[in-house]
Amino acid sequence: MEALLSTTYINPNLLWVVTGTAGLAAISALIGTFTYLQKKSLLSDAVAHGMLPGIAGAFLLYGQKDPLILMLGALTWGFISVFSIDWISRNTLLRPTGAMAVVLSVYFGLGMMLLTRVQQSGLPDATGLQGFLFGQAASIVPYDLLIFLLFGVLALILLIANYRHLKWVSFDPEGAKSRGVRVDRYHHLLSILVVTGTAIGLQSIGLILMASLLITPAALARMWTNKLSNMLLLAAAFGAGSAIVGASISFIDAKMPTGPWIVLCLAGTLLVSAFFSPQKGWWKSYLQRKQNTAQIHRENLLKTMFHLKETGLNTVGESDILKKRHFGKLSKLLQELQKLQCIEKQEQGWVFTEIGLQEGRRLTRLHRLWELYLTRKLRLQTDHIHPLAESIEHIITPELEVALLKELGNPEVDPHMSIIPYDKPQTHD
Amino acid sequence: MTSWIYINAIIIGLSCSLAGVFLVIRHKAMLTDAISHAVLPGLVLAFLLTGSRNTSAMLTGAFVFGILCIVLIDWLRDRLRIADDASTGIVFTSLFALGIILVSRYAGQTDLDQECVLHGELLLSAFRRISFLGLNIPATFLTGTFTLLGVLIVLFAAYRPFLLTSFQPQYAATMGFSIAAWNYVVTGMASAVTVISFEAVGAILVIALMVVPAATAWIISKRLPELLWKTALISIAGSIVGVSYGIYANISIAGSIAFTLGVIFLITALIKKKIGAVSMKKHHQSAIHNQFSNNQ
Repeated sequence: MEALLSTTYINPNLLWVVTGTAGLAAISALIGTFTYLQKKSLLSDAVAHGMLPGIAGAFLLYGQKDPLILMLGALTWGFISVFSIDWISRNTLLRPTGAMAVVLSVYFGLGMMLLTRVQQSGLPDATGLQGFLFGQAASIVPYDLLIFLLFGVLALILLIANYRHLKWVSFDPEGAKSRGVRVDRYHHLLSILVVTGTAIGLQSIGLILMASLLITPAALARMWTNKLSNMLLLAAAFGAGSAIVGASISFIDAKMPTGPWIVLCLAGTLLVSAFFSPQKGWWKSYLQRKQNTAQIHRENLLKTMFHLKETGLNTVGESDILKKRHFGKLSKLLQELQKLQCIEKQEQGWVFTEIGLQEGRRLTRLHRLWELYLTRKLRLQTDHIHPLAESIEHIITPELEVALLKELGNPEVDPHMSIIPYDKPQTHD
Repeated sequence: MTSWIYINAIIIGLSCSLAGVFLVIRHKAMLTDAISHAVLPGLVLAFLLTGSRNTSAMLTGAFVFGILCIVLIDWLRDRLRIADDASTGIVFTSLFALGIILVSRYAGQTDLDQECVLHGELLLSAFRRISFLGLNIPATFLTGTFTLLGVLIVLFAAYRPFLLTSFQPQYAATMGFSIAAWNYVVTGMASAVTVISFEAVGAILVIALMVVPAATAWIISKRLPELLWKTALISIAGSIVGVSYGIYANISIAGSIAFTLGVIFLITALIKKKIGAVSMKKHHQSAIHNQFSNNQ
């Protein structure tokens, strides 16, 4: 932090560049959200690599590192890459992903050839071009930033103006087509956005890792929300946040390239999200599992106590229960049930409350109904059915119970000739 | 000295292209992109731990990270439900970023640098010599030959499972071949050739060597043996022309090979399209002709 502060003092550029880079990253992340939804994430990787000949070629032709010229070169070859991928996947057996691999590697090779020419050219800016490979935020000057932001804002306006249709095409292309939306037009629009969104980040993130800024924030945002508007906001925030960290590091240590740090920052956030995201996180599913297990143990205990009550034992001690069925932490389970007002403690042991009795009866009933269903309808042997019923009794819903009762005609005994307990006496037609 | 550059380029090109055939026809070409990026941290770590260019250590490092990359992609896709292509993109960019940071951080201690990672040094590969069985040969030639032999042995030994799992996965599964296991074999082979080629042509151009010859041969092949030998021929042609032009024009040789392969691909696709259109027309005409002659 001190190092960062002292750099701010030395370099008034920092605030400008960090803010600008964050803005550009946010725009790229917004565009990436739509490519993520349309499952075209890797397009940005192919396009980014494919831009190298454009950058090197523009530099060779113009002889100076002018951001506008380089930007135009990058955009041109970005579009050529998109066109090539499209042409190859239409005219050969390769699918778009195969076409991408061909295009990105061949154009990158061409770019490398031109880059060696650039190094031999002896032009004063020649070494600065290396920054485009892995990103060098520290080398950005406000004029560069202005040009990039100009294109970024243009892309943003295009995105906002077409937001409704882009959303429609992303989620329901068939529906949109049937309502007269020209879907292919919006695919082209998305290609334009991807090329622009990739090109604006080249100097700060670098073309090798640029794809990450379009892919990862979108995937991250998707882990935290189901709503497109929230997803866009979150993706932009993740993109901007990681860009701020990456750009700052490149100011602190000039040898460090910006791009890799931004990417690692995003990867770290992804790992954290994998643990804590409300929808797919490990933490959430761990809690869920734990809750389910506890619920099943409680239900098994209630059922066991109900069985004991059937044999005439109204007040039960721990030893009575353990004779019938083993429970790991019995006294803890009993206290839990007491808290839920299912059982009460008396001097000689535990007794059911009305709630607990009803619940125990319900579980026993479900178990026996299911056993009957299995023997009657699926014709299973009576000695096979107990374990199946053990697991399903925790899952059967009241609606399913009604259906079962109707299907079996309100039966009185199960296949083992045990009485099926009802809350009130059954009336038979 | 120049002839060694040609020989090294041809051997590396052959290993890569033959290892890449099965990735291309399984529509997994972008996996080469992922693997070639993802092995970088493995290489750098092996480098830092052993302190030298120890080939077996680097192979191990790269192999571990190649498999790790595949495992992580599957994990992101299956457990976190991130779309398949996005998972690929996330994993390889992250691992590559880690590798680049290691390279930048320890640039002084290794003779790997950012340049080398992208370019390779095919030109220099002719000079770094070792002696083997009393012969003074370039190290790249030795490792390259062993890799090529390894790839050929795997291809011959596992020809049938490769054929079946690639073209008729369901049938292969009923025959008892594990699709997942053979996927790992294909991926492992790809990681291995990536390592050997890494030093010579760099992380990104190795994708061209692996994907483009097979993609080109696929346009003009109908059967697997045909696909394999045409891939090999195209790869050799690309290496020879690419190296010649690279040396002649004094530019990145690896880039030149990739570009040459791209040109061969484009020409093949264009010719096929033209012939395809002509033969379609002929087919159409003869079909019409037959119809008329039948009517008479």
